[in-house]
Amino acid sequence: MTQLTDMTRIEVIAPNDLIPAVREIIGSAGATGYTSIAGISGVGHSGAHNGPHLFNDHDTLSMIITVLPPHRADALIDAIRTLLTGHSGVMFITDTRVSRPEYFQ
Amino acid sequence: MSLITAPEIRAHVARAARTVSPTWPLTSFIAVNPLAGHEHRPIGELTAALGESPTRPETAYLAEYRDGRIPDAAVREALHDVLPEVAAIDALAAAGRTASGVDIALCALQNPPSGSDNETAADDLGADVDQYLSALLGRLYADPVWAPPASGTLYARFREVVRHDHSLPRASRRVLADLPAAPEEAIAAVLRSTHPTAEGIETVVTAQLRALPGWVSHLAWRASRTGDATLTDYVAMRLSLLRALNRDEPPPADTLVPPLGVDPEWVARVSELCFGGPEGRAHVLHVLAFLDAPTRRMVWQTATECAYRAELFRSLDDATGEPAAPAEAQLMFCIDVRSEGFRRHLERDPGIRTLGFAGFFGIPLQHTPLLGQAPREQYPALLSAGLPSGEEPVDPSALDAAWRRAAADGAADRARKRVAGTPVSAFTWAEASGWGGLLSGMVRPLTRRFRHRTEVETVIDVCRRLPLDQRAGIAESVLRMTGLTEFAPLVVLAGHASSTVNNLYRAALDCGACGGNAGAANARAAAAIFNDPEVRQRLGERGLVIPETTWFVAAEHDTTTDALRLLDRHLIPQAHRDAVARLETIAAEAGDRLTRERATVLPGAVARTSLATVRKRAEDWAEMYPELGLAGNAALIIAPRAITRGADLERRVFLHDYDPASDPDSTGLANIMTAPLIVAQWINAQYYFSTIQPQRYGAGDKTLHNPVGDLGVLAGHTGDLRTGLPWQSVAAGTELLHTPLRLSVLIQAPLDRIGRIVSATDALRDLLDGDWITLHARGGADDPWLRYTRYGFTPARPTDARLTRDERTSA
Repeated sequence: MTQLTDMTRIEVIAPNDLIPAVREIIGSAGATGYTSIAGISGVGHSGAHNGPHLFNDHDTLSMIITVLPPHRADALIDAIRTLLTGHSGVMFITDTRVSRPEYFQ
Repeated sequence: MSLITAPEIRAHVARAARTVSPTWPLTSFIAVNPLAGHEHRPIGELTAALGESPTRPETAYLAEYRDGRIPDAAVREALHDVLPEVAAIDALAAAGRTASGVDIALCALQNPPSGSDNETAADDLGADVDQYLSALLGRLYADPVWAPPASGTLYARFREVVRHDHSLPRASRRVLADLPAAPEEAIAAVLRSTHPTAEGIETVVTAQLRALPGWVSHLAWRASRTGDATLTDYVAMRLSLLRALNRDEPPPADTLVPPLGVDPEWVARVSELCFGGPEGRAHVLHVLAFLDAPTRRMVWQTATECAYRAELFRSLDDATGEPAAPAEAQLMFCIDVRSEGFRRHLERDPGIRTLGFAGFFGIPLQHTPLLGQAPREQYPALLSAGLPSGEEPVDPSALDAAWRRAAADGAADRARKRVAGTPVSAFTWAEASGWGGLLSGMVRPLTRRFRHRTEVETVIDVCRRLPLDQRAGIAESVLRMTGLTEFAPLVVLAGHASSTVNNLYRAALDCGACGGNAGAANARAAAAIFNDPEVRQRLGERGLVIPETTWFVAAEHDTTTDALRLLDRHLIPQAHRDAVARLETIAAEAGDRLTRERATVLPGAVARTSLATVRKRAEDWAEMYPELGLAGNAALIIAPRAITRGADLERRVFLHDYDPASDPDSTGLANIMTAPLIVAQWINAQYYFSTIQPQRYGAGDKTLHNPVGDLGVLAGHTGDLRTGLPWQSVAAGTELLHTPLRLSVLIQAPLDRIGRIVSATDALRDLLDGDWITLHARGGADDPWLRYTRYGFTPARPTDARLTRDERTSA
């Protein structure tokens, strides 16, 4: 079986105006990259949240996914929690495995 | 770093910065609500949250009330809106007299307690640290020699510069030389010494952001758009300077307004007026307890808006509907309020139809002009990217000569801009250039005319670059959003631009939907798409048939001279040239009438001022008021033109066409409500706050402006970067040119569609539920207007607004 390495995967869904800050925080936590998906929509505890709009990227949600070694994850998780407290936005954390860990160190 | 991690520091900064609205550079000046970061809370709570009143002084409203501009009916309606608790109080009796809650409140508003406008804003711009930091940021971003390297950060450049800056004391330089390499470390070093809590950290960070709000807004723009600076850099810089210079950061001012008891003299006075003596004091006290100073101002502000809306609804009675005569030409203008005047005058000819749509005509461009070196972002600030576009010369052999002319013109322009764009060198430049500068300034308008004459004929290359599906999609969305399904032989897509010279805020007068640029490129691109046979065939398959005899022409409406310039004339087929010539005659006459109309309100002009004199403002280097821009904007109407045609809306209303019949799935309405409506609110809020708080949210007096590159201006040669609009955009001396009113939105469309779109859109819910805007709607032209509330649509309360025309007539 292929050798796999444990990592932590963090997904953040937040209003677009918060995304530059999320990216900045991810960088400062030592993550080597992220994946960004624009035009997220859904329903949360405060109701429906946007959808992709033809002429408005500003008032929509985006999702950012990053993967980093578990020993660096706690600082990032705490920081994102601080950022989102009291505002809309969610964070999901899962254990994951990668085949090329050097990409994430 | 032991206690606070780097990501945590950045999170605290980002959290505190959520209330910061980015400010665009002057060259692409975009109207934004400076308080957009607070839109999650009702506007009425701003006073408590910020210590800043979102309204004018009470005395200003009282003056308007006393001269009749705010009628009693409007104040009563406002009391129902703002204080439903008071409106619910029925007749109260004392000493043989009765008065309702609204009666007592109205009397109290007319006779406020003394000292109600005693409110002073804190001004920390005099702090030497902030003066130093503002000057340093100006040097770093306005002068390429000092700019941070492309691969570096703002904080890193700051470290390099300040350790060698001999204007700082030697001891401070020593401290600054030992700054940590990472900005988070620098912040943590300060925070560690005070062992703050999470709330304490945020308080400290917020104080830094409020110290230089102009620069902070600009850096917020850089963080989101260019990525070469972060607010963490800025916070680290300011805290490090404070520490190095041994400045104790003063505790942030308590922004909460202390609750005040009701002034007993006021109670006695109102009781005397309402009940003839002290017997009614208990009743009066009960009502006046709701009427603290911020609430009274909000009632007055709401009353001015109710008064305006009543007039607006009355104006709609003057609408004549579309004429029976066949349409010779249809002209689609930007929704900009300045279009309303031009459209109204054009429509005096029964063969003319006009429509309103956002001035980028649904095609966001990253456009590089033929001789341009860098692409321009010709799209609304709501979008994050545009479609790459360029221009191709019709005659390639003309290109070389054009390049040579452009190179010569460009070198001189760049040298002048470079020198004049740095605050210090600008003064040296003025001294050194002397008469030469004056002469070149006088000659430049002439050379600009010459340049127009030597323009190379081109075509916009969007049809080559964009796939057919995308082109057809753009065209279909424009048609469905406006209800344009029947076509005249000539359809004109008219973008707009302002002719103005020596005006740092030129972009504020150009088209906001085109990123603060002139709208010609977008109009030309859209016309090219609509004239594309493949697009027409695809549209025909979707039930939108554009006859072969219809030609789309691009045009540009000059909002300073009221001229309509047709573009790409070389592309106009012979068969349409007579129609074009006739349209140009009609447009010239309409432009003359509009200029005469505008002259009545332009500072320094009167009704009898000649057209030529008014239009010379476009070339006058000393002119403070080339035009009035969007001053006066107050409402947005989303409806067929038929309900407004013939009504004089005084160039105060954004007009977007919409016909539900062309938009079966509501997608078009959703696009309008999530984009043009939002942009109209941004513009409205910028004018609003630049007027009511010019010191904080305005750019100050134009005559004192000193550019910092193309980033912004200083008022004088020091201080913070100014944000918002110059005072001359909203006032002439002490006379307001812009009456600050929150945007009134009127939509004619099925109410269930509107309700669904609002429910699904966070931004709209915030604006409506927080009273940042109002919304009235009706399903069709024969229905009464209903007011949107958080509980649904309800009959618009008093007087005329809620009634149909027939009901008003019979009443």
